[in-house]
Amino acid sequence: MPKSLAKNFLAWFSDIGWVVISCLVPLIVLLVDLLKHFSNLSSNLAMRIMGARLMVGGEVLYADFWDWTQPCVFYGLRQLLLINQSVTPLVDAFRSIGWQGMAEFLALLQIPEVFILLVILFSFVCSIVLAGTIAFFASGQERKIDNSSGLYLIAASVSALTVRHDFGDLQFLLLVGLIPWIILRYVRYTSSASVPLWLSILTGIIAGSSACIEITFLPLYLLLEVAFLGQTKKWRALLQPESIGLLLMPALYLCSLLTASESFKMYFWKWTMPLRLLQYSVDNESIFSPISTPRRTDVLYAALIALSGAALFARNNALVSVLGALLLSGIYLFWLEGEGYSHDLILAIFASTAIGVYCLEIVFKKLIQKLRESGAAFLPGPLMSKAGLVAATVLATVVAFMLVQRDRSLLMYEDYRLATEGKISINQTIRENSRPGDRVAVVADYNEAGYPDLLALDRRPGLYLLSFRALRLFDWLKEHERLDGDFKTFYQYIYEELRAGINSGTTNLIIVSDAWDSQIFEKEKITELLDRFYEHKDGVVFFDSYQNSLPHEYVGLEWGFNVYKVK
Amino acid sequence: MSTKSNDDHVEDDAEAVEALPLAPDPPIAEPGTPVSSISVSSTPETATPQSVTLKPSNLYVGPSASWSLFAAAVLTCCFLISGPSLYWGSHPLLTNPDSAIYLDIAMQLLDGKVPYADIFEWNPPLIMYMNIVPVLIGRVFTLPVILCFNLLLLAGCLWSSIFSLVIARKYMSNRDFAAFIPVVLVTILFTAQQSVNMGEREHMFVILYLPLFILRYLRWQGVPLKKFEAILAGLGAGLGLALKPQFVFCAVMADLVMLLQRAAGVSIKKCLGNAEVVSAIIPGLFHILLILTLPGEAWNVLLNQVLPLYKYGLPFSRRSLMFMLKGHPAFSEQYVHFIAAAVLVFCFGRYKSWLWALLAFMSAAQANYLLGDQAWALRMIPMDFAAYLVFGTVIGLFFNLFGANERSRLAICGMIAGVMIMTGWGATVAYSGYEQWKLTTEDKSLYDMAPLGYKGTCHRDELGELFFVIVSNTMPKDKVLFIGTGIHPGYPSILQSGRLCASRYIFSIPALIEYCEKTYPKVRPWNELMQEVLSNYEKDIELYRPRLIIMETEPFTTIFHKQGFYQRIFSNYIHYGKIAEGEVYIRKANSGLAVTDAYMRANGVKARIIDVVLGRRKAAQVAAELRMDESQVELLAKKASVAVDEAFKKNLSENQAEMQLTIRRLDEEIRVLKRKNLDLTLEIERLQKVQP
Repeated sequence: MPKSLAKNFLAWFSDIGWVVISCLVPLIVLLVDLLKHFSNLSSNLAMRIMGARLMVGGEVLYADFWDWTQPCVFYGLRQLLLINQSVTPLVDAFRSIGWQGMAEFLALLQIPEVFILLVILFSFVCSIVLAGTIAFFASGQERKIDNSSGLYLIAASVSALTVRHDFGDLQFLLLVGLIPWIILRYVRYTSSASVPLWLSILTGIIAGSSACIEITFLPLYLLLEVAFLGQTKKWRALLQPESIGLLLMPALYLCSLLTASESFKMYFWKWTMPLRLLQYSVDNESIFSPISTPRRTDVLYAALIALSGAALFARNNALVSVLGALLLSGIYLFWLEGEGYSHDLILAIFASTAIGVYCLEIVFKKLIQKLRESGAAFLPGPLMSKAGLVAATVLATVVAFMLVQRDRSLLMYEDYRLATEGKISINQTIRENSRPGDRVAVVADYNEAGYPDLLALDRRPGLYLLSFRALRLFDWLKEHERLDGDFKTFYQYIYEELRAGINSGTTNLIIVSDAWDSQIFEKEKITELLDRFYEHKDGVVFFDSYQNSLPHEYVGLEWGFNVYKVK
Repeated sequence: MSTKSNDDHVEDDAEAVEALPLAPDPPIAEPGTPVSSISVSSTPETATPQSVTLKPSNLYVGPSASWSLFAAAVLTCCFLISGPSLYWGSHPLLTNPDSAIYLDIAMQLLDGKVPYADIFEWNPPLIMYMNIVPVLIGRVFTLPVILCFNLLLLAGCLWSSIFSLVIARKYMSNRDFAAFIPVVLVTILFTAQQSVNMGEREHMFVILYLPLFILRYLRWQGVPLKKFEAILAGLGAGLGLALKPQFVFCAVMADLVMLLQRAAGVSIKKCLGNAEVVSAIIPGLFHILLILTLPGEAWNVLLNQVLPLYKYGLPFSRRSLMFMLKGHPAFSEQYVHFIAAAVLVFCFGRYKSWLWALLAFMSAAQANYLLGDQAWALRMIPMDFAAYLVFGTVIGLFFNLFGANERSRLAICGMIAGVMIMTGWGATVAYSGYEQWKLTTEDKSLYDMAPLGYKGTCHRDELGELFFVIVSNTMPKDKVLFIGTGIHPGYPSILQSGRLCASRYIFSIPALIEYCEKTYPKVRPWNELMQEVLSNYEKDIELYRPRLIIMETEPFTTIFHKQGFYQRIFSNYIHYGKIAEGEVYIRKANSGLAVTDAYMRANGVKARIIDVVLGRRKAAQVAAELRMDESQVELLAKKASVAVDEAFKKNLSENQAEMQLTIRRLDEEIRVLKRKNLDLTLEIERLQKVQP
């Protein structure tokens, strides 16, 4: 019966539907956008996928290529690529039985970046479902979710779309672990509701795994616990199964790092990690002019509004306090990296959105209360309020999507502007001077210059380093007469590898930034080698970026790039 | 009448039911909520039925904090301030460029000049008039105005701290007062740590605002305050708030949070219309009146020069976002303070409700900094100050941890420990000040301020190269013109030397106009403004006849040549030399004591200076003979000594080179002879073998 169907729908909508619909809207838009613009992916993710591809091809991390990303990220992506390889027989099988539609969809999945993007999105959706499941158990009522948890999940979904250009970066992967973790810990600290053991262990393991992907992430989890404790003083909540999961995964990871081969340990503990830590303390002298770093004041203003909102409307709310601590941790990480990239603001964006949503809800509730007290003729009921919330989420989704599209359009405009001025972009240079499968290196202080173009154009990393930030750090160490001990050995090793790579002539194309890296190459006498084995193309090519904004951000000076093609 | 804040009651009542050691603030009362229905629970979201019932806030009656504790706190404050007082006392000419120009403007105002019409400046005029006070004190007591300004500021800081303590003692319990002491002490520590930003308007604002912050907190908690205290706090803070309009935003945000967490039964209307609010508005109104009553000429400059240039020229000195947050240790330090303090608010906010007000204040201050779009650390001061207050509050909360009723001994221990720690802190600061003072008295590189008309000495290090150029080439009351893109180094050097600025442009704006012309060519006829400014420069130079003109080489050489201005103004000047800050020009018709070559030849200065270098005569004696400042003679002797050393070294190095060449030649000869010797020996051996 249509009437009972409508009644059932309304009941479902009131209990859980409002959250499901509100979460689905931005996530579906995100899915469609990912499939449509799969080559528009985070430069760091692209670089890591390329590293994982090298590993699948038999190359060894640190021995054959280097980057300071945690090894677990490369190994994880390698596993995904291995799984991805098994899609090919499936495509053939579906084609053979005439299921063309399925075969075509699976053919899309054969593209590594599409497969990995979808896996990450799937993980994110699972994380939201997991958080929702925890919220069900906490509410004590089956198939019902409380307002706080619902709003939290909606905020997470909208944030995922907002950070579309940095989708899959490390902070985004951290969110996969954090989203269910925060809900579970909130339940533990503020209520006596029981959560099934499997659920808490699973949440702990996911959170623990996400804490391993960057050295700063585990302390962040610990800070959140301090915030919860400060608000509730419920010390017993510390001793829960999920806490074991959280600590177990980093412990296992640490064990694996400690029991690895001697050479791996040397690369990791003596060379890679000290350099990664050095990045936090070394000032980049080139971040001076107004657009030498991305200008994400919008996020900082939003964060300040969220902080003020928390102070005004959501004082002493444990969840808001933890989100506040998360927001500040996010800003601290952004500050610590010191490069101003949007991908360092993912946590801050998520926490600001969540706090903002809470504050709006509180204001809305107070407004309704006032109206009720003043005897207003019309007051929105709970159902209408939830419908309004869904409408607001749709609106937010539209706005977020339009902003993503705007960024892309501005980049296209910039490409057009470069073309009309007769300037050549790096992308065009790679396409015109190399073929798929060729080794190409883009030497710049920022990964964005080379990635994701190298992945999208199916080139292979040309030199030992996947990213070249290390060169600036070595240069800084030299300038400050601190290049000694392990740093010196590593420095010598890296330059030997670079020289060997150039001598061998296996790299077809080397594109070197004129701003910083050319000077370093000059100092290290790499330019001499390049001139001997490579043909220095006339003129310079450019990195296309519209006012240093997404999706092409950079750090430092945006000068031209010199092009060297193998003789 | 002694009353206690809402916090006190919550805690006292909580003790009765064996509440947690860190008793939380009461929950936010909805307006109109019956007071008896408000409860305190262990977790905010799950209020428990056995929670504590509060009494109406306006009935708070309880003992004030003890006088002994108050006396200890005041003594600690005095002790703490002694460190920076010693430091600034021994650095009487040390100041920052901003403070220096406002002191200079204040002196010009006393000479009858009008802001904007006779002195070009971006900012509202209140700060200029406020600086008249230290200038007058300096004139009365013949002290350097910079010293008077710095000491006055420290006195203000002490007043603000003690006044806050007075208010807190009256309306807080012993335990809460003890927890409040660190808040006041950290504010002194904050001032003690200021170096380059000492005396900036942001610094003045936070000093003046502290008593009002405490007072407003108590007011929103329903504590009946005395009118006199309210007016005093309001007027002081009002002065600070009127310095820059954006400060009002910070204060309003903090007040808004207090409003939303006010105690039950507190009337919003009454709280907003109270004596402190009215008196805080008065300085602002006075300031507006001051601006409105400026003469037409001043308004003309304001509307046609100051505002357009400020609006369009602001990006001229813009930096990247990350540079604003991390480009200098001063930014990094303050930003990390903000993050750490905000995290503490989220962790401990439920135990002291003003922490949330401080978070709102900090956020507003940070927004002001970002909106300002300039990498100036001074603009982070209000944010940093609020962060310090958060740190102080959290330290106080930890003292309270030992302060539950049944554990009064522990509470006392906590208080004593707190005072001891703070005293230790103070001792450290005071000791560093003493060390500095000792260093000053023993250091040989001191500058005798006698040529400036003051008794005593100051560090040479704090006086830039430009100061010595000015002092060496001009007489007191001579006029000097500095043309540079920034305020520094023209200021503080001109103020330190006691000379006067020779133009209405105390800092230069042609470079800014050129930037606006390039960036926004269609907005207005910038070239007309450039011509007007250059014409004003010309008039000022003609009128004031500056003895010295110091000009930053670039971009001014290019701009002035382009505008044909260079010839017009420098025709009466000769290029005297170059210093790090730019080119130095000295007036041709120089009848004074400027040390030109001609003057030196005519007076046999060189011979006398060499006598000083060789120790035959004393600098003071030569200075008296030549009618020069002793410092001038010392400087010339130093330069001569350096020149002799260099010449000697050069000569020595030339000799060394010659000797090395000889050695090499001789080595070569020895080597050849050895080879010959070897050959001959071999020949002899061969011959001996052939003919035995």
